[in-house]
Amino acid sequence: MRAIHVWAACAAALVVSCALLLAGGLRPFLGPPTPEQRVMSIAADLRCPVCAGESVATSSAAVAVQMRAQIAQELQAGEGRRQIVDGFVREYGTWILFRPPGSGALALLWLVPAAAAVAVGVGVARYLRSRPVRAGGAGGGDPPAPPEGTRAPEADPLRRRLIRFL
Amino acid sequence: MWIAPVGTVALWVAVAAALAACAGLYLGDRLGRPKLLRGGRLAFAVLVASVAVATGLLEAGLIGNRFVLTYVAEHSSLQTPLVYRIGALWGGARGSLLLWLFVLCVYGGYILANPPREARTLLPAALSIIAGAAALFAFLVAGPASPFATFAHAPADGAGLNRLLRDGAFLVHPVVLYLGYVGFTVPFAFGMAGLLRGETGDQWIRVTHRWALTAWALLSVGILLGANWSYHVLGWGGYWSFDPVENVALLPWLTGTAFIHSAMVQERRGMLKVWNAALVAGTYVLTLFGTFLTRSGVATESQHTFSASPIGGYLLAAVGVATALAVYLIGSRLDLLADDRQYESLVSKEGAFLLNNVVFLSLSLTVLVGTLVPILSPYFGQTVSIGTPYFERVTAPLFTVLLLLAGIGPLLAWRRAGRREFVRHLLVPLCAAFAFAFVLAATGVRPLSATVGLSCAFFAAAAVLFDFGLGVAARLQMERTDVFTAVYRLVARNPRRYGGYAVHLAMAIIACGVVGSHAFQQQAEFPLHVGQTAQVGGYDFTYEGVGTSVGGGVQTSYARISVTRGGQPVATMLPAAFVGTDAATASAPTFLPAISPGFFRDLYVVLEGYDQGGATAALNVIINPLVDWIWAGGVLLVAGAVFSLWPRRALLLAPRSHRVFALWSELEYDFRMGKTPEPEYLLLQTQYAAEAEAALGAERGEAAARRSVAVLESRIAARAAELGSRAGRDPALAGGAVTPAGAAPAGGGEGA
Repeated sequence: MRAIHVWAACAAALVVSCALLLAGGLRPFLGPPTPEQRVMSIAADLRCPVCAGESVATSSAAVAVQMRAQIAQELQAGEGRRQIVDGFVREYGTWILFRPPGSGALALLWLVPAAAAVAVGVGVARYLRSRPVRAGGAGGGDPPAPPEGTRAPEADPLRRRLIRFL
Repeated sequence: MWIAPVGTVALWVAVAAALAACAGLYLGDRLGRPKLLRGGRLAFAVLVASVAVATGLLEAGLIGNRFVLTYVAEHSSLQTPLVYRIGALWGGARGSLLLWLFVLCVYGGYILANPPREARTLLPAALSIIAGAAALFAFLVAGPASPFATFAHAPADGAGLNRLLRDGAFLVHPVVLYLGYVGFTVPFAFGMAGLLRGETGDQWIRVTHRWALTAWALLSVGILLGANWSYHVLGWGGYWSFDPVENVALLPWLTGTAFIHSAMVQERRGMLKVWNAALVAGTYVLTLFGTFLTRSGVATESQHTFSASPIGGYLLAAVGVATALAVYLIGSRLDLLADDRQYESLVSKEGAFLLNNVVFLSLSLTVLVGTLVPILSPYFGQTVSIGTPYFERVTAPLFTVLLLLAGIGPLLAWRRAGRREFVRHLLVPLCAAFAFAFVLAATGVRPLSATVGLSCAFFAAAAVLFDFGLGVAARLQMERTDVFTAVYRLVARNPRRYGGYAVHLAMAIIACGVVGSHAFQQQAEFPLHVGQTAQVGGYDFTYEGVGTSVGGGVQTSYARISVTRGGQPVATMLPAAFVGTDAATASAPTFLPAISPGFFRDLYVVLEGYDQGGATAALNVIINPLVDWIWAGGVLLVAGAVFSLWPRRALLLAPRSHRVFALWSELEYDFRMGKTPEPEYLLLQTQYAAEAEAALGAERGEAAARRSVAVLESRIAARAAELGSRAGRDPALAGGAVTPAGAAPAGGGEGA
């Protein structure tokens, strides 16, 4: 087999074993979300009413603990995520939500990254169009290139200096 | 008590000196008056000295327990250990402002004492800007936020350091963070100085490259240390919550990362000048803005906020002034900032760095908007809360793109990469990443977004390693040596590049840690009786009882949890609750999590409460997969940055030809690695050869001129010595005895 095939086989084996190792290490932590995790996932979207900017999921305040218990109850009773969250919004106001709602004017906040990327990208694209990308000989400041010669590589003193530099 | 008055005087002296230095250096530079420049430099030295004195005095007050100083009484106590007394300097808002000022003065003083040779002309203006920045902070600590306020009567004991801050990471985190933040003032100063003087070449970038990279590395480490502290002290099982204060530390990091990449393009090709000026100014303004936000009390809902202080207004004004200055300078010099050259191909490192800038800027805008909206929204009627879920959802795609770029960038050549060659090279890490993703998905790793994240990180790592392999192969082509020599020479001769690759690798590892600890986290909270076991994530946690210990001004209660897995003992964990026995901290207990680290997971247990006698304990058990990869990645990041900053071997050639040969050697590597196709290579090679010829010729001419001047000078000196000795022997000539300086005109006429 050629050397390159040996390299490729080794690389492939390495990739697969890395993936298997990682998957094996993560195995105990996979699986469908436990009821606990579902409570935490909903709680993470709600703001703790009495804390300094913590979510209901991470706070240890009594109110937060009680809210988590309430979420757990409601989940067990079969309510959906939307219903539970809406219930809290009815009780505390939209301020309780840690993410902007999916509808209404504030939903525009979800588009901020895309909008920013597009705005910046468009600006850059327009600039590039005004200064055409040119792979010609001269790129302003470079000396005009003579037709490429066939310099004997090692004999040239410049190249010799370059080799020492590398 | 003399510390307070002397300290206050020192700080006011600092204000005066800073203003004098700022004015003297700027005007001296503008009007060409060497006396003003000398005065300005002297004032700068006075500034550095007086700030050092003030800082030393405050530390002395802290170490010596001088509770008459309100700052010492608020942040230290008789029981606080020495190392935390020293650290209390940055435990409060006022002390930390003084620390900021001190670091800035140290940096400025270093530049004053070791002026960079290449940017001599920029030096006075740059120092003037630094002095101006120092004047702001000096005014704040001399006046509104003075750490030298005193009580009328010294209390017997102090309040002690906040228990949460009594931790090793806390001792280091703010200092490192400030070293990074303030470090960006230097490239900002040189950049604006260049604009002020109309010198918009790349000297300022070259000169401040090491500053920017060092500041970036320190800022990265500072952020990671903060995350680490949050993780093992705050007890919520996470390390980053996109808190407003965390965001304002992230923002300059984002623009700073963009800057250190985009600066490379200006260094080599004289392009992206507007971007670099804007990025460095933005980074500096964001550090000021961060200081404002943290101290003004505007961001009330944060664990980090220092108590609200009156200096918020001043800092906001400073942000405004700095922004206006930068916008004015850049806007009015736009023509000077035009690209020296054009893009020869967008499929090139230059193109990749441009895209890099776009993504980082979008990311910064997103985080900025997300941080500002909740703060400003009350003024517009409805109060909106934006928290972690929003930021995570919204920044994840952009970070993923960055991860991909971190892999794609190294695979591209400078100036013009061959499209076919690039695609061929790209396929290698891409296929590896797909194979990786396939295996993960096939073995049941869900959710799919996590698999995608891990695979993108793998792609970045694979691309970097593949490029390294290509480099070694290229090296072996150039020289017939063994592999080890080739690797050594490759890495030793390109420290910037391979240090940078190490950092990219570190980022990939950190990304895996972030994905793992978010997507696969297991959590459960429950009460346990003594002897009862609960299972979380395949581990069995058994509660064995509560113990107590007293010492160091603190009463500790801890729960004993033994952890097993499949019958095998894994760890014994002792989550604790601390109640301080000092005066003020006796109120609420602090809960410290117990952490059992591991390669694939951290076990994390928090004691949430227990009844009398400890018959039942309420526990919060969290399992964080891969989280230690974040800290490990951080270590690699530091190593990579340090290597990247390794002093280069002495210049083989004079600066101009050195630069040409450096670019030419990169072309040579790019060609041998198969990134640049042959026709482009030959064309570019002839360009570089011509440039090298010109540079060497110019330098030879300069050297010849210098040699003839040296010959002249030695002849003059010899002649003067001759005349001097003749005068000594002949008194008649003594009246006309000449000093070497006086001999110059006579000798000049002779030797001309």
